[in-house]
Amino acid sequence: MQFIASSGDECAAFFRDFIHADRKVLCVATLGFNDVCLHFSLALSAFPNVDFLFLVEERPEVSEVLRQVATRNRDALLASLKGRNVQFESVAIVAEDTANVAGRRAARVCATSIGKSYTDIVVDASSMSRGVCFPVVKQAYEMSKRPGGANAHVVVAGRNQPSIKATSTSSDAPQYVHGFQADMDTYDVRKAIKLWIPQLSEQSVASLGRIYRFLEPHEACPILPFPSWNPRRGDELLREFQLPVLNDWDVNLLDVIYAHESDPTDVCETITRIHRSRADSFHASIDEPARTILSPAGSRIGSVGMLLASLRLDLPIVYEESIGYTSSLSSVPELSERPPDHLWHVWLRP
Amino acid sequence: MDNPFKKRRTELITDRRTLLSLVSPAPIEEFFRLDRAELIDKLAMVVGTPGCGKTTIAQVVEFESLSTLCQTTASPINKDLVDVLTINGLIKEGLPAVLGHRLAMTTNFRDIWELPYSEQTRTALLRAFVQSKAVLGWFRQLEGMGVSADDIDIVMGANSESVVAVTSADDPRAFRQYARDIELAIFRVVTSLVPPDEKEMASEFLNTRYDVFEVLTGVRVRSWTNSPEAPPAVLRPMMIIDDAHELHPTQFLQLRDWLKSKAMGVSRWLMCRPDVVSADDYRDALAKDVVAEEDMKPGSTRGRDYLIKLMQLGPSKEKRFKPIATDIANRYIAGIPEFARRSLRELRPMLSQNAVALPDGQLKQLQDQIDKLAKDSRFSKSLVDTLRARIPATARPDEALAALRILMHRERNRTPQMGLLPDDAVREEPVTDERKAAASLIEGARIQLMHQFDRPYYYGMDKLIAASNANIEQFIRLAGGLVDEVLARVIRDRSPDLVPKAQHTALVTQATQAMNEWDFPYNAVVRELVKKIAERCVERTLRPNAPLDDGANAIGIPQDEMDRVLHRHERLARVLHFAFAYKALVFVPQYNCKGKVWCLLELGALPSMAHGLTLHRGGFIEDTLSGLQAMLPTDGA
Repeated sequence: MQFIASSGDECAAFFRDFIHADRKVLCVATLGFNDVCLHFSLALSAFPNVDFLFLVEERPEVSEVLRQVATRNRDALLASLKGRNVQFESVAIVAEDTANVAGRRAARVCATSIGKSYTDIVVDASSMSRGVCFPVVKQAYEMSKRPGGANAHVVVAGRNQPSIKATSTSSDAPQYVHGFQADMDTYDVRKAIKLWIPQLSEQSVASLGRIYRFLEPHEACPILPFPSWNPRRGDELLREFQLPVLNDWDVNLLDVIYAHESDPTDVCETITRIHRSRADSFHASIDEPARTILSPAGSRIGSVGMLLASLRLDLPIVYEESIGYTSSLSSVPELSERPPDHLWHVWLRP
Repeated sequence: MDNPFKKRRTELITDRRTLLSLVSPAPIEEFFRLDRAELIDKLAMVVGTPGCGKTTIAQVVEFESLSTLCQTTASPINKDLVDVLTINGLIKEGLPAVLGHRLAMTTNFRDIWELPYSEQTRTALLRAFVQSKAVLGWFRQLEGMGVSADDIDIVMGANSESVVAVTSADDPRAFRQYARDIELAIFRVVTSLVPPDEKEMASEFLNTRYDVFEVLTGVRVRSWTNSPEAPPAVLRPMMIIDDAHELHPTQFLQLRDWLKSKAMGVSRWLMCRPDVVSADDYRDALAKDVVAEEDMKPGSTRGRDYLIKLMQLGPSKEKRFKPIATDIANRYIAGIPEFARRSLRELRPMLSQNAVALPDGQLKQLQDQIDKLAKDSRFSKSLVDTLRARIPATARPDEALAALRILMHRERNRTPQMGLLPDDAVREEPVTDERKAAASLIEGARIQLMHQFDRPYYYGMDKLIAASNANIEQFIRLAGGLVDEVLARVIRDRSPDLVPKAQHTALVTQATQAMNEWDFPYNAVVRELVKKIAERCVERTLRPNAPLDDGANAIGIPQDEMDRVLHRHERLARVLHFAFAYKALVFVPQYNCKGKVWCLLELGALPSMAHGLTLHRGGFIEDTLSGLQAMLPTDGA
């Protein structure tokens, strides 16, 4: 897979030059409490030939105030999309028995829409859960490989500091993102030598610890954000993860990976370089093949980098789904007029 | 070796030899003690909370473990364990007798339920996936010990010609390849982004049935790589399905009903958490648990086509946990060089039970309270002395005073018409009965002293064991904290005795810290629920007359009301699911008391310690389902 990436103002320029009248574009997005979810939908609403499919992620435990913020965002967006072809689809994240069904349900919902006669599918990952976004992007990408298939694009907007502070509650069950298991857990890779590349992020020690126990990797190379908006963030994270990194995961500090906090292509290229050099070293090891497993956490922009690497190299991704969000907000704040700090558009080319 | 207590979970010990050297034979012996034959012949449902030792037992009976243990080396890895496994028929003549493999129910198995196919097709896929994984697992176990496919024969039962032909069972390599093909075909269907439709799946992916469990009876090993002189042996295949609670509830029932078929030649265990077991099964298992005390067959049901093995719960189990915990502790202690060098081999003597006594000032304060109470209640000295005589002489002075205070409050409550007596009248004779104060009342007195004067309460080996909820992982974790303290003393050349105050502080700190670290779904709701239950229990425990002696640590809901909740997919059921799974609450169904059947929601030992409650079981506050529901905070709070 190759990709063409644009960032910042280049994104708007790309849309202007690319979305001609003969194109038929579907924008797949979510409407969450994070207002960055509005940016690309509003930007694309300027083009009359763009349809919208909004996935409404249904989680059992979300604070009422966050639901109200999401409604505020929805109202703001709908005001701009009057008369447009807009569709809302609910996606259950958790089944009745608490199993994570996010990716499977999202793929089912999108299968019909993505299969229609669009020339381009744009997936907005800005506020979409990884468990929903990754399968949908993969679905669009797989579709783009078919003759006459629609082009697949991913867009993501992000802020250095979130406008609303919310705490996510992880499920306690690590699992492969739907469609991102590669051949893991099959007999053929029973003796695989596993390298685990987790993205370290605040308050994810317990969750990444569970993922570690689930995978039992032979090596772990955590990714720290550097360069970063807060130059100390990497150090602070290393401090937070001191116990698992130095004890349970037994990480050699020379194996810590630094990747740009807000550049998904840097994350992708770093992982690609590591995986390929490792694959070269292990190419003669038939019985004990090498496998690289990714675990995204934290900001969406970095996660998109992992997604690109996974699509390019068919790497498995393990994560824990969020089953809810809580916030200490007491009232619904005004919609911020500040534009997102980072904008990325990636065109996935088979 | 590192301090083994630091590895809280055996899953973190990846080296099998290290794991096996640490495994205590006591829980294995206890597990097999009474149901030996049935555990091998029938479907056994092994039910227990996380950390109760299920997975460790499963790991021990895996073929690789049995083979590793059987290896003749200069220093045996764990001779006691070999003896227990030999007595129970898992090792025969120095060779493994079963070919065990543990198969955890990952999300791939659960995901089969999500496929857009008929229930019949999904059931068939689940069975085929389990069987193909099992067959491949057995091969993996054999390979792990150097037994190649060329050294074995697949042994099938009678009337299995057609299965032999389809699965190529007469050629072990082809038999394995067939299982790989089945595994991969189902894997592709399950992990595909959008699954193929049912007809396409049936024609392109999977077009034959795969039923080997019903005809496979053994695997003959013709030659043993690690023991060339050992004779050929037929191993009985054994499938241990772990984490069965991860399946969809309907899948769980389907799997259970299929595996209980008597026609199966494969030994099979189904391991799961208590909350997924049906109320009927639980009722039966617990009813038999009572009978068991007489015929010595605890925690398992008989006379039906499967066996339920409760790994904990039930008072009989608690008693038997004591020697198990002691053995584990001593085994771990032996692995710490600092202790070995100083010939320290047991944990019990390190946890000092030396007298804890209130300082004189506080003792006087307590005495003053009693004098005032006697005066206010118009109790004569002789009445107080009569009450005092009911307290066992073994009670320490401060305990005796606190117990006396409780007895005086009880006496006072029984004489409500004091206002009718003249002002100068005093009462000489007690109206309460003359029984000796029970040991539980002395415990209640100690708990009151803990709350009033910060007097240590959680100390000594017995309290440590009680604080473990009969759960091995929890025991190791708590003991680890105490061992750390002892280790620090020993390294500084001080006596290894850990004073009660230090033990109490270490245990309560660990309990609080563990609760702060709760990071599981609905943890905020569980915290709130635990807090509210604990507040009610503390209030009941600290009542001056200690109505439940040592107090309460549970609420009781009528069992029939509770059954309805557990069968529904509502929020309360999900919250309780995680509360039980993480031992925030202990699920005690079918508890008979006052002619009614209750389901107790008992605070786990950690929350009990964090809130200063008794670790004894049985004291509960009666409530109702609506009362329980009212304790839950609203959605997403």
